[in-house]
Amino acid sequence: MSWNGLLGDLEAAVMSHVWDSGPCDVKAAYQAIGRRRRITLNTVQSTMERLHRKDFLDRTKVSHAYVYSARVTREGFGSQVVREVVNRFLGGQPAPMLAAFVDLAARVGDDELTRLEELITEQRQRRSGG
Amino acid sequence: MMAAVIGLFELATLAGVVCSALVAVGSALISPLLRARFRRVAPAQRVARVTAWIVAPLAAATSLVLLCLAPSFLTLAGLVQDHCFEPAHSHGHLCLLHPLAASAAGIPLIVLRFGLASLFVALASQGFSAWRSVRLVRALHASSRQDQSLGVRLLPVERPLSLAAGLFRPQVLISSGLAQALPSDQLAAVVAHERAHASRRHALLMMVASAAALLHFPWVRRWLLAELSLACEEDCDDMAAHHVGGRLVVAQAIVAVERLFGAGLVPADPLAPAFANDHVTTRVERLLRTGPGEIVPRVGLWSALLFASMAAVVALQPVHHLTETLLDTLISFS
Repeated sequence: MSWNGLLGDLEAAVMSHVWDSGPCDVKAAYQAIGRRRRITLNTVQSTMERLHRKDFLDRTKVSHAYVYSARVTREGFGSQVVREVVNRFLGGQPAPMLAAFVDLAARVGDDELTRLEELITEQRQRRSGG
Repeated sequence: MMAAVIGLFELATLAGVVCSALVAVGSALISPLLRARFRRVAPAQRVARVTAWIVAPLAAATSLVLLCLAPSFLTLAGLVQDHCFEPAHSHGHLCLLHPLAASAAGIPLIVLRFGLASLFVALASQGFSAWRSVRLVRALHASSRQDQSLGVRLLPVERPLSLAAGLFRPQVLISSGLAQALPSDQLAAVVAHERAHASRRHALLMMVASAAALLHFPWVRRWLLAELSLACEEDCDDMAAHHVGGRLVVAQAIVAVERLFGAGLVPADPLAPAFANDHVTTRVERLLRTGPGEIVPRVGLWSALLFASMAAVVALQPVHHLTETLLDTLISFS
């Protein structure tokens, strides 16, 4: 599976649709995504073929059309993306557009965290004790 | 004619580069004096001040070039008479109406071209990082689901993580692992903190600041960007504390998330960082103090703009001619 570069805009929309609605053919995906975006059936078809080549989608021929289903689960994909985010931060690579609650690129030692917890507890007791 | 226009462009750029370099030197000299004082200012104001400091070299260079070319524009608009008394003289000549073939040459030209090429490479590298981030944000969005009860997008992963992701319409993403691990009051603090990042578009601010900071010396740039990042975090901590009604809850949430995230890293992981995260300590200790920080009286934006406009009108001709003379001196020395 090619995680390199992750997903383009339309690829992400197609994967979201397949994860939400289950297996579908190109026409169904076009009805759900293509019309709203004013893109052609061929564009949706080539996107699904590309996702199949990247091993994100499986396909089986039913009658004259291919039915596509997700080869990777949303959870599996999510884990991979999060790993990519964390590795990028830890590796010191810039990730402009992402702000984490705590700095992912640097860690605080256990002793320091314990000291901070004690300070918080002390402060809480002082406030509740008056 | 084309050579003359290129020569004018090179001279104007050289003036801008020299100006931004002088501001960067000044910034490097005063930064040790202002570091301690900066931390005492309330975070929201600190964000504005650090941002202004970061863009100072770029703003100064742009203002100087515009001021130098303003007489030409005013003449073209018919508002003033032709300002060139001796259009045929050969010194560094910043005039759109009578451009001379003479331009920057020798060492200044080499330095100028090298500087511009380096800047272009650095900006291209930042652009590539931004493009990769766009795809990452898209993938995060695709792999998450909207959680109605929390009002955020929930990532179906165990690793504790909370992010504000996106540039113009940022979204808050929380991992299900973090949502399950934190008590409800601390989770509310985390969500409020990330929403504050999103509403203030801090990611966009950081991206613009990173590009503008390229005109500072590397050590000043690192300090300014770290200071801006910390000020943004502290600003969001204050907003989260206001939202959940207590600073202690936010402090507890910071320590809890740091502990959870640190525990999830494999110690032997070569990527596991070895350096200390003083932002966590600084943020928590600040939240435990009583007040949000010193509020410095604001200078009104409109008053500042009015003052700057008046100063520009008065300084137009002197700045134009002084810059031409200095450019001439610079070129003739090389």
